[in-house]
Amino acid sequence: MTRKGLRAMATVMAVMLAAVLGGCAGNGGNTNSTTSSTGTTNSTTNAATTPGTAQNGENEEDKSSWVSDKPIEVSIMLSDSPSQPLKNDAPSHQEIFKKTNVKLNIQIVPAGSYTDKKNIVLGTNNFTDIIYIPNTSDIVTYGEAGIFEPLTQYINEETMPNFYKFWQQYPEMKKYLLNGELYAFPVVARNESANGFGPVIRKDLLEKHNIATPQTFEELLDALTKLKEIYPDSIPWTGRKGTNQLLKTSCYMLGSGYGDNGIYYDHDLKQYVFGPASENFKAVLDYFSRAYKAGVLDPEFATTTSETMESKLCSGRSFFYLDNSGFGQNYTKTIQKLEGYEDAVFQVLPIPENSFGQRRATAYATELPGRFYALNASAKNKEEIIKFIDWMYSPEGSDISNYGVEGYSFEYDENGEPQFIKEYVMQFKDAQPSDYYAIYADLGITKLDWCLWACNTETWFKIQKLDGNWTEIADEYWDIINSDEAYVQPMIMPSFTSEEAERIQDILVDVNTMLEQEYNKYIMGEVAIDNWDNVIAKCEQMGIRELEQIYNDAEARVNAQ
Amino acid sequence: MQKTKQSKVPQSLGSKIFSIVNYTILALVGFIMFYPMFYVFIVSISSAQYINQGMISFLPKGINFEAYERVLQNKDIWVGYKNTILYTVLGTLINVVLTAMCAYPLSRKEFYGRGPFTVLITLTMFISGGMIPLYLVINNLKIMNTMWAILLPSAISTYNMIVMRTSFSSIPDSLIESAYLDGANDIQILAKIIMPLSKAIIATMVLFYAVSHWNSYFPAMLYLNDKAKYPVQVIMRDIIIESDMSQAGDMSGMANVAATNYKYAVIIISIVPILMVYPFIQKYFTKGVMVGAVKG
Amino acid sequence: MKKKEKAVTKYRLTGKQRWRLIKRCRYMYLLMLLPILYYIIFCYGPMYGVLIAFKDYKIAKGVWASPWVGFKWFEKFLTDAYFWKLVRNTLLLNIYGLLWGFPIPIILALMLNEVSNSKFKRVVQTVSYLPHFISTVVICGMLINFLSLDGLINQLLAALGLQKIQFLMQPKWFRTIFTASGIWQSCGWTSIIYLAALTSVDQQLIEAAHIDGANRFQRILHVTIPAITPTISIMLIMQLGRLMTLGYEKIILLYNGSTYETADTIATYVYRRGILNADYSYSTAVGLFQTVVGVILLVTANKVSNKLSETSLW
Repeated sequence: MTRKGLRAMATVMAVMLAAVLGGCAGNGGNTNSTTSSTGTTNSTTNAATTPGTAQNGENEEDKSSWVSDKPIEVSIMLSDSPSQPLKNDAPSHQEIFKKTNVKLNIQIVPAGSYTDKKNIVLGTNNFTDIIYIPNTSDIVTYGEAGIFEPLTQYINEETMPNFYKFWQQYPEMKKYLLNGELYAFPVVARNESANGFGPVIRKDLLEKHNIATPQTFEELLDALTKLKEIYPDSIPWTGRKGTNQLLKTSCYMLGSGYGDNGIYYDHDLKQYVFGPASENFKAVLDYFSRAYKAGVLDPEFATTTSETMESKLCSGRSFFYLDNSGFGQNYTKTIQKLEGYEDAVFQVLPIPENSFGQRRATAYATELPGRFYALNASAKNKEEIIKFIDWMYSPEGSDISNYGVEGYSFEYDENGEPQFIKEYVMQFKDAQPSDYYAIYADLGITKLDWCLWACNTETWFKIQKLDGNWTEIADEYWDIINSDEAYVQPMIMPSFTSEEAERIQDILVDVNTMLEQEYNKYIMGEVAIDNWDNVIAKCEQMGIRELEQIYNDAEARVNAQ
Repeated sequence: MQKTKQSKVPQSLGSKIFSIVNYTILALVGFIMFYPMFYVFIVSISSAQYINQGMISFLPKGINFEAYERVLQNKDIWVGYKNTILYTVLGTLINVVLTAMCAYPLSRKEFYGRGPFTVLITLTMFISGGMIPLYLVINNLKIMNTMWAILLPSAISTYNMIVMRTSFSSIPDSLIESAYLDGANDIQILAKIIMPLSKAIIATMVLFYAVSHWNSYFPAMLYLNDKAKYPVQVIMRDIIIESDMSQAGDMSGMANVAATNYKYAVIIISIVPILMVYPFIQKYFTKGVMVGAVKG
Repeated sequence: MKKKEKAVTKYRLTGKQRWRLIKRCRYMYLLMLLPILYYIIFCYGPMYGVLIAFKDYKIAKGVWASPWVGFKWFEKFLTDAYFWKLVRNTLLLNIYGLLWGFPIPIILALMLNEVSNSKFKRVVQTVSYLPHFISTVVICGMLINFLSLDGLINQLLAALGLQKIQFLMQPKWFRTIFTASGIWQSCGWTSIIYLAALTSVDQQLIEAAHIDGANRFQRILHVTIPAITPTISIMLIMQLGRLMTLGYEKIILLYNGSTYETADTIATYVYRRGILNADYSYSTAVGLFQTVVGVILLVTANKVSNKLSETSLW
């Protein structure tokens, strides 16, 4: 039986293999039509370049922006978010092919696994022509390895006129230099509205109970305490992802800072500070502990998750959170469906004043959103790819990669500004998870797709204003955010040498392991705030001042360049 | 068949009490085990308001199937299903055949080299070279971005192989001795004597391997580059963990994190087919399948 | 048979005898051909990768050309201030898992085996492995839900007039939660192996014992359990070999600063150190450390088992 079984197995395998190969070939013959979106078609074989060629270049005018006379294929590895599933040969990609003669072959990696996949393809030096890099630390890790093409040689008026403009416009980009060399192209945001972590409160409740809009954090605490008195069963202030997120979102506003792991740039002190080891941090802990004691802060603040936060806020049990203030609009939509909550509104507060008399907050990175694309040092057609990348930074490239296809999804208005076509947009009015994500996915556009001068909010606003999903609450929200001067753009971290990076890692992990065991005790009032001095002393023993020094030295070094 | 056997000797009072206690405990255990999946199911068909209020515990509220509609509209999931079924069927076939081929010699005491082979094979359960060298091997074999890249590296699970070997070695030597005397060689013995006698363990292996293929996403994510080749778990997992791990919530603007009922509908959809395999396998878990053969 | 084999191996074999033995097993070697190829290509082939535990792995240079650093990474890990706490927590979580998680599937299988109503048996069996199919992320989400202050468990406590407990904030509860939920999720699934082993128990032996006047407990104890002892021993040995390893996924979803004292393990610490930040050499060194401990435990357990029950892995 085994022999027979083996033979049968071999046959089965052969058949399967044939089927798989056949399937690929079948997929290769994609149509170049721009009118239909064809789900997940894939062009994997090189043959995929040919069908397009027949159509390409029928019109001589189109050729002006071609980067190569022969059609070339460029492979790009991108991260795929479930909100905006990517696909090959989306209308925007086909338009890019028409304009540049570059056929995109996108390797689509699920977002949750992107880090693993990226590390292994980079770790084995086995990656696509262009690869998406989600953060600067990878540039340090892999830039030194020599697997990325050094880019400084191309950054000049002549080779990359479009990118060069941005290079001049944003001097902060120099911080991406590693030992004087650029290893990845940063994505530049196009007309992005900047929000960030902010205090969001049930505005309707404030009005109902005649509570004035809090101007300071003390008033905020009073207001929440009052609400707690009125609704004794409520948990006024909740959050997500536990203590770390609580510190990350609110420390800076309260006069200290936390960044992602304790270290942050203090725009008032003009230097990097390890928040928890600073004097001001006591004020933060004090604030939380008073909120906890008053029953205002969620007693389970250390074990909150996105799910518990959403469920508490959307069921009327919680009235306030301090996190991505944009969530509030989603929560408002959900809670209004609930009986008795038809008038409930979550609205962002202007940043209140903290106990040091400051109003300050960090917005999300919106000029340079911290997305990068590195070029494989051993890519074929490097010269053409550089031209292609530069085209992506051009107004034409940006319009196509943010608005899709002229005449199909957008047209230019009298000012030469691209505007979506209403009939196209209306198809997606009720789409899930949202109208604009559905359009982004359908066209293959904006920040999460292959796009270098990228929109996120600009296109979103335009879409919702067209299809009627835009609300007054949203208008009010963006008015508050845009007129609030407390928000600053986050500081771009300087590049470290690999020795520095290793040292930072060593200190940070140990210090944070120690600290994370302390925070909750202080917030829950088990230990008096004065004892925090001992914790600071412990941090100092563990090398926290050295860490701050490394950061500030690196910053100075970068600025001297 | 079992009933007749059990009722040959009349049950004593002690035995009856034993049965009652046994049934009660098992029913309770069964309930506790059933609850999480049941919970996932009722949440998946409830509406968001009730879920948020924490009002779902034993009955669904505001029953609707929107979440399922949304899942089934996702084209990626259908493509993923097709792939998963292909990988699971083919992978399990390879697994069971190779595992039996490896387990049989190692279960025979007269197999020369049994000790060293076993030690060397067991060690692989503990020592692995890590992701990078394996990735390079697969790359060098030119099977990257084909299904072989996910099927071959997991062709044998050493753990399962040892379980199978242990089961094989409980088959009486006398059976094999007599087959030798009849002139059968080892391949024939494995195929004609061992395999038919080991239905329960083969069923177990099929189940273990099939489920692990069904649930596996990591190799697929690592070794496949085409979305059209992804198994359904890669797509499902991303939907389920989105809110916990990805950066989507930390972008300017709103986050569009999937609703709980949508996530749970995804879970239900992703496991129903593999659950349907079990009844087919369960019939091999009956007592005494070996008795006749051993005595005869 | 067993004795004969032992005698054979004790002699020093001549080349001819050895050849004859090998020839006798030729079909078995044929069978082993593909499996051996598999192990060589996919397990031993990539094993040189452990070398990066002794190197400063540089991507562009690859494994071979990266510079040697000796035991640098081991030193770093072994001298870490948290080292002993991490080892203690890892071991304890595993030992609790073993103490409770190992016998329960066996008991479950034995209990199911005693059920004569086949419909009931099927239902319980099917239901018992359902939790295995729910991914860890979701299981942990449910746990947090059930264990929260107004979750199912605290509602139960309150109904009984007891104080509500913040389970996930207290270090003393972590091990219980982790172990119990582990059993909940996997005991049905693990019992399948024992159920399969139980099918080969000779029914006539059981009936003979019954006629001899043994009650059901005695029958289970003296006939059924001995029959599946080889399976039990092998499973136990393999479990012991894994005492130092524990995945991080479930822990990072359940722990927080307050419970680090009992919840922080080797895997979670390495995870926080940035296993995701391509810290290949360090994480390989830690993995190798776990392997060495695991192999020592495995070999010891195997020896003990061989002495006690004549069952062994090799």
